[in-house]
Amino acid sequence: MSAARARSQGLLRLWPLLPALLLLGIFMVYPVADLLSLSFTDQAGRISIQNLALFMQRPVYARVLQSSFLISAYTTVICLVLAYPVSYYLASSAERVRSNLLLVVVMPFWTGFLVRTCAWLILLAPSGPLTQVGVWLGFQNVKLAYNLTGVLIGMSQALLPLAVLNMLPVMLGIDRNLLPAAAIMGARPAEGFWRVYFPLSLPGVAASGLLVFISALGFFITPTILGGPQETMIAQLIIVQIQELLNWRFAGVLSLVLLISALVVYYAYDRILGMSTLVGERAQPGRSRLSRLFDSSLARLGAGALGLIGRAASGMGLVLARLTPAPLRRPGRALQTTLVALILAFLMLPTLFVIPVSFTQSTFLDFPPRGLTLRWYEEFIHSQAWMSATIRSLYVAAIVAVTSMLLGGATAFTLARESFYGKKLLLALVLSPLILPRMVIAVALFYLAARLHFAGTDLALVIGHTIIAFPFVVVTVMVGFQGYNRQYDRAAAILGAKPSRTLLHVTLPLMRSSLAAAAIFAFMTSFDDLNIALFLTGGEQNTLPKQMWSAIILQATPILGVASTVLLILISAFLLASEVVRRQGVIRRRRAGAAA
Amino acid sequence: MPSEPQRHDTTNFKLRLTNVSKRYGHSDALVNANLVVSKGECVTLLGPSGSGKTTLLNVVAGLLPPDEGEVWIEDRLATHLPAYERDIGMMFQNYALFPHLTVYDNVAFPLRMRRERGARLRERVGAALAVVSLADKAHRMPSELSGGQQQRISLARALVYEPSIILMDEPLAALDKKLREQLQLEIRRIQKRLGITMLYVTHDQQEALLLSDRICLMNNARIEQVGSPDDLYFRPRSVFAADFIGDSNIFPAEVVTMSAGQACLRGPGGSTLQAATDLALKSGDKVQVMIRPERLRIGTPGQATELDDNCVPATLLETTFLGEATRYYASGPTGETFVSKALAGASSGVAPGEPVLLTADRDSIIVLSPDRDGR
Ligand SMILES: Nc1ncnc2c1ncn2[C@@H]1O[C@H](COP(=O)(O)OP(=O)(O)OP(=O)(O)O)[C@@H](O)[C@H]1O
Ligand SMILES: [Mg+2]
Repeated sequence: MSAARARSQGLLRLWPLLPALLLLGIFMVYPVADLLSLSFTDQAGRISIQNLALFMQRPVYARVLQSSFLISAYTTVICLVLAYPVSYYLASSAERVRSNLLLVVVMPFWTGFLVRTCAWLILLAPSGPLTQVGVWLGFQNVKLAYNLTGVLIGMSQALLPLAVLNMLPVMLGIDRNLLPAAAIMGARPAEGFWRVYFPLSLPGVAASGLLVFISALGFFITPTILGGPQETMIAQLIIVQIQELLNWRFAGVLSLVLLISALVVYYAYDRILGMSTLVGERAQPGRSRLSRLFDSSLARLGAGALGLIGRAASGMGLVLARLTPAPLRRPGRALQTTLVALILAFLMLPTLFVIPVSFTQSTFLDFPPRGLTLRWYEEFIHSQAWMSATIRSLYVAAIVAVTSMLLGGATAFTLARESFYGKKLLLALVLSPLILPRMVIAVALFYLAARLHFAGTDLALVIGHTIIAFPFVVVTVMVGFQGYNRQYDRAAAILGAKPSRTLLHVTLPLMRSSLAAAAIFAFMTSFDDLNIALFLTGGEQNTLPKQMWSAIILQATPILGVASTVLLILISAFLLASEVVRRQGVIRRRRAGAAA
Repeated sequence: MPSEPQRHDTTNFKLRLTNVSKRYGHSDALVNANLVVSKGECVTLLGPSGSGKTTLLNVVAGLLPPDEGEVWIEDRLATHLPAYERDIGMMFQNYALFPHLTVYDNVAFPLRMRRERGARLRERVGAALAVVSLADKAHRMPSELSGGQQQRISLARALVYEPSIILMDEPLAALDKKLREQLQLEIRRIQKRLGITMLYVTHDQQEALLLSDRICLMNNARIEQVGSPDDLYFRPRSVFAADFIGDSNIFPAEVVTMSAGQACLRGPGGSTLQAATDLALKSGDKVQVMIRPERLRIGTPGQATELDDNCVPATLLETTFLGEATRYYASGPTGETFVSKALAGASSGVAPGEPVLLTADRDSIIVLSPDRDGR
């Protein structure tokens, strides 16, 4: 057998990667490149930097850029401060408590920014309950919405789960014996915390901070609904450029800005934790990355700063301990529980306000509801626009779940089982839709679809949603593979099973729970999306989030409460289903492990 | 020859636990533990997994408040003293070195907590590192050291501030045999030289026998027996103790007469056994009897008569040659298997299947108290 033939056979093994690569190549990489290259051409298509120059010169853009970064930075700080005690609490809880509390954290994450922003609109509005409480408490001039306060409240609540989810793995990786060890050696709790726990948790804080920052930078829902003109952000500007001014070149420039910011931040993230944490390898501070981070690479870019902060905290342990307010120096579990309960309430409760509002008799979104009526539900059911949007959302999400499973499943299986040159790069490409700002993906796809005349069709929607959903499937299935013992495959092969039969009768059944979780993930990603839908739907062809968005912009009636409630119930049901499936999978795997 | 067990000095103690109990929900982790450790003594906590060793250690360290009972450190009641005020050193099973601090800063940590600084700090850290011969690794990170070196850093860190008590929770469990033996000797040497009081958890009986002045044997959340290695080996008090440490022949017997610490027992096949015991027994009691294999002699029936005391007739099953010793397996009158171990060279000249006579001296026959769980 010749070497060439062996090689081509080797490549043949990789064919399941092809569909995913084609999809990404045609509908993401090419259009994004195309869109970005627009920023460097003028009206006549010649190479020019006039758009960039324009962007630099106009003070209004500088202001938007500045407020975008400022709002993102404030949001990041608030999220970190709130996420830290929650993660700490979760990390020090028993496994069972942790997985239940984690569900509380994740639930709002999937409930969608739109529903949650709606809820804040109800709560923070000038006549809303929180403003009333403020007035009642004797504050003058309480203004919670249509300004920076409103935007920050909404955005930090929206992004808090992300912060917790990224801090937690690092905190879980901290050896539980370190704090007791410090105590035995004479460190009081506060000093032990600052000298030992805090420095070791820093990579998690940094990772959370970076991800929150970059997600915040791409926000448009919250600043549009809860902010004033002062709080305009880049993504809003992109929408205006495309939907109102039809200025593609300028949208390209703005996308470039958003994209570069994202890439810089992810580069820093990779330096600190490694992207491998995305596919489920637990961050291991104290081992590989962190130890390198604190010594040889200390001088390196972000790591250097982090190391310095860690060292400073460690060295100033006594000072920091003295500065820590007395009740926090040795917080009892009761105090911790109260604090965490308050933060989780901030996360969970506001969203529930959309439910009573859907029953109000008035024609505004107000709380408490005036009288009770099912009128808005009737209106929702009899409204052609709302019902068709709901139905479209459901079937598009179902189709996306299927396409994502096929693409993502094939990709993950191949990536997990085969090793080949350039695999890392390929994985990076496959995961890039998680990293690129969705707004950029959406605008680029719209640019392509508009020219090929398939914008506004379900096909465009399915393609767009599959691009952003299937990487989740890849991640989930690859994580599932880590809990899956390749030995079963080999055992099946030794017993004479052909590869296809092994896949069908051994591998797939064992991976069942990972696959189910992945399908639900994909479904929800599509069901919840507004970025893609914002551009790729139009006229009567809306999805539910898009329909809600239009309603908010035009006129916020209690029918929004109904739509929010519907969305909330559907998403909670899917999420609980996925959790049940996941736990069964854990049990099954334990049994399989015990039997093996 | 084993020395006589020393009366333990309970007035000049370093650490004392009285009736300490700890429960997790409905399961006991520690029940009525009583233990006294004197200054400069090394006591090992030995016992199977889940027997409460770590729990006891954590109670002493102040990491776990006991439900009942008292902890005394010298003349100070320490039951509810926080860990950071106990002046105790501890080595964790997984070392618990701070991964973000250098070796030097790790060892300096407890001194810094005591507000030591400047030249004096450097001097003491240097000295502690010298004790474990790792002075040249001071500026490495813990992750750059081998398991054995990390282990020694952890020891240096526990020693550097000269705590009055050092606790070690299976510190050597993760190491390979050779390194483990080397470090056992090192720990023993340092402990003796510095006169450290030490509580050492292990479930390796060789390690316990080698390291300790006394062994505290634990089983099922209770302290089963405390005594010198010699005591535990030759004078176990319970079936569990006899079974857990070393090889043993254990068989049932019935008390015939009992007088002045001398018991006359009816053993397997109606044989008569004479044994010394301080248990309060009366005639008719059912007991278990233990004989160590090396104390059980095997002979041909002609050498003694079955009418003599402390003789059990048996049939040789198998002979295994172990090099320096030979092990004989024999089947007793009621089918139980006896093991006898004799130095090589003294061949018995008996072939498997032939009758033999098992004999033991009166002071090699140990009467065991029945276990709590009725075995
Ligand atoms: N945090 C806990 N919650 C509930 N039960 C516990 C906890 N810690 C220990 N236990 C139980 O208490 C008992 C004693 O545990 P302990 O850790 O003291 O055992 P050990 O002798 O140290 O065992 P090993 O040799 O395996 O380390 C065990 O039955 C254990 O299951
Ligand atoms: Mg233990």
